[in-house]
Amino acid sequence: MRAERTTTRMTGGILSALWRLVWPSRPDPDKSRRRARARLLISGMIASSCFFGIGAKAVWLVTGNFDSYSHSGVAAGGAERGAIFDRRGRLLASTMPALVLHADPKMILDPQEVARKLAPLIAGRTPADILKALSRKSRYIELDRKITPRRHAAILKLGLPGIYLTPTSLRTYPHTNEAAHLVGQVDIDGTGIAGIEKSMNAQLASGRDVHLSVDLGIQAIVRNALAAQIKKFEALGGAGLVMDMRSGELISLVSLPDYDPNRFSLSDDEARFNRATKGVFEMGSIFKVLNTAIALETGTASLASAYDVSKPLRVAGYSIRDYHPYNRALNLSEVLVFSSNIGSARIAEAIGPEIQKSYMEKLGLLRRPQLQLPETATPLYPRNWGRISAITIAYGHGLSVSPVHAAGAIAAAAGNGFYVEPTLIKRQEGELFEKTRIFSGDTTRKVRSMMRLVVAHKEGTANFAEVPGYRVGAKTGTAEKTRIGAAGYNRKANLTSVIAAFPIHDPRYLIFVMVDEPKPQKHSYGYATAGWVAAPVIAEIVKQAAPVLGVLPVDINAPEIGQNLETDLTIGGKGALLASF
Amino acid sequence: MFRVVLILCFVVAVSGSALYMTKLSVDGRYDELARLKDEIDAAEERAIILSAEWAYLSRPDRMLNLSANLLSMQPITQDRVLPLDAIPMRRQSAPRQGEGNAR
Repeated sequence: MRAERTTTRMTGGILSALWRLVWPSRPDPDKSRRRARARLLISGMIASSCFFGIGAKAVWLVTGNFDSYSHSGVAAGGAERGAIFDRRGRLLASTMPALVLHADPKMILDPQEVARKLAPLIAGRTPADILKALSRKSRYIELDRKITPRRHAAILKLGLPGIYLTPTSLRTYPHTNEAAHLVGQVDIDGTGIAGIEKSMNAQLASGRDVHLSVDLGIQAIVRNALAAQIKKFEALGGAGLVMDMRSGELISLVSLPDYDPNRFSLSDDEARFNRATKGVFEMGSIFKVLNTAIALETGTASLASAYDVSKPLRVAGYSIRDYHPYNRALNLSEVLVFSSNIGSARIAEAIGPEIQKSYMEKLGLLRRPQLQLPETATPLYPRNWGRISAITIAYGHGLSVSPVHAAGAIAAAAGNGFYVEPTLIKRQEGELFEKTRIFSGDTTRKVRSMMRLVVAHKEGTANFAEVPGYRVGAKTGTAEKTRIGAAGYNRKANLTSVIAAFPIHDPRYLIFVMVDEPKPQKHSYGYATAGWVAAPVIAEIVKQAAPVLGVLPVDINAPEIGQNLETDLTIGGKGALLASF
Repeated sequence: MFRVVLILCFVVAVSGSALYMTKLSVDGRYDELARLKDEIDAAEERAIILSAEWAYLSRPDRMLNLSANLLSMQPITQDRVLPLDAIPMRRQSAPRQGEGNAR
């Protein structure tokens, strides 16, 4: 009762106080002024706070960073991997948008149904494979990385829960096998693991394109001609290249067998192996070109020098013989044109091992080439380079090099005397590059003339490399391969190769062709030598590639042919006629 | 004093609002830029796909087969390749009647 009375009294007091504040019972001017001032102050403060708040918010909105809703699309992402082009701008490798198909097993209601429905849409996967993949304890199971737009639509149409498609990028090689060993490969993260993709990874990864020196048209010509001959002679494989001798640019570089870089995982080691740059071989008689050039350059031989080849040469218990024995002395030109091992050995004896080794070193034959490919090889050469080594190296045994090594070195002897490091990157107009003079113009003129006679003379070993209208010079090499897991050579397993230069009176292009273990055939009368196997490939390449390379057929009577070749050569006791050139 | 504060607050509010409006219009421009960029990206993507497709369809091997099957073309023989200046120029035609001036 008492508490009730107290509450009623308090409520009445508050109400009367409020009433007096709103409607003062006794107007007092001073008091009223004070109250008005207080009201004004409070209202002003509230208004100021509102304005301040609005202003502060406006400033915050202006200066704040709101990527999430305003301009997220403008933010620059990581650079797309650069493309690889050939020297004429044809696309060899590019990165395309693609979709990854993946699954989250926890979200899948019926794995069997999913496996059954997806199997026809994933290349090379059975329902059992998919079911097995879905049983893994992971929330991200990748099912396919190459989803085409058509399959994309079909998968979406299935409407399977737990199956997702995420945008990604895919490295594609539209020319498939054509330049497989050159372009190489990237791994699942897009990092180069082979070929140019690996060696130029930094440049490609930063989004910059790479322009190769290779011409895809010439590449196709070399590849087709070589593949046809490998098939014809049931060979294991082969390698071929075309090089611009003036700039060192490789216009073509082929290794067979090859593979489709779009299906890299399906290829075997044999196909992935780059014979043109990674394989080292004893090249055989094509080294006689270098032997002759060194002899002429050092003055240890002249065109008039004669060498007795009538009997086999006995060296350290071994007998050096000729494939076609001659029962007389041969001059320097004949030693090369008839490919005499005995004659070459005698020339090398006169040169001496030290000088021979120093030339091999200058010609880049004792080190790994500076080619823009990770798949290069270090040559194999004797630790003790003595008389016996010098003799065998003279005709291409005892020193194992890759086709790229051989091309770089022989280009100096069969070209204009300069050694230029072979390159796979297109040279820019007016680009300066290193070239070292190894042989004089006089030496190379004589060597080229002899190489021309190897093709043009009836007793030369590369008659099948002749192409009417084009002056081709060449040297063949048929080397027995070393036995695998045993000492000595396998007489039935040959490595046949031909190195050629054209046009020989104005050397521009060098062609190298190698066929590994060709088998004797009926159509070759049981022969499987370089002259039968590799020389026709040279002719085919010249015939098809010369017009593409802008090399025009020449008139035999054109004065530059006589001027640029040595006409004072004697073969078989007779002077070589200008017509032979 | 109080009046000054009020005026300052008003100025801050007005300028803040003006800045906000500017910001909104910049955002609009950014959206437009993003849209254009998306369009360019899509066009570039299409160009990449098309150039890869073109490269695939113009493979030398394929062209060789197509030309052999459809065009019956043959490789150029050496006697058909000539430098441009080896082709004789067309003879100057004789002046037509009535063009010359007799003296």
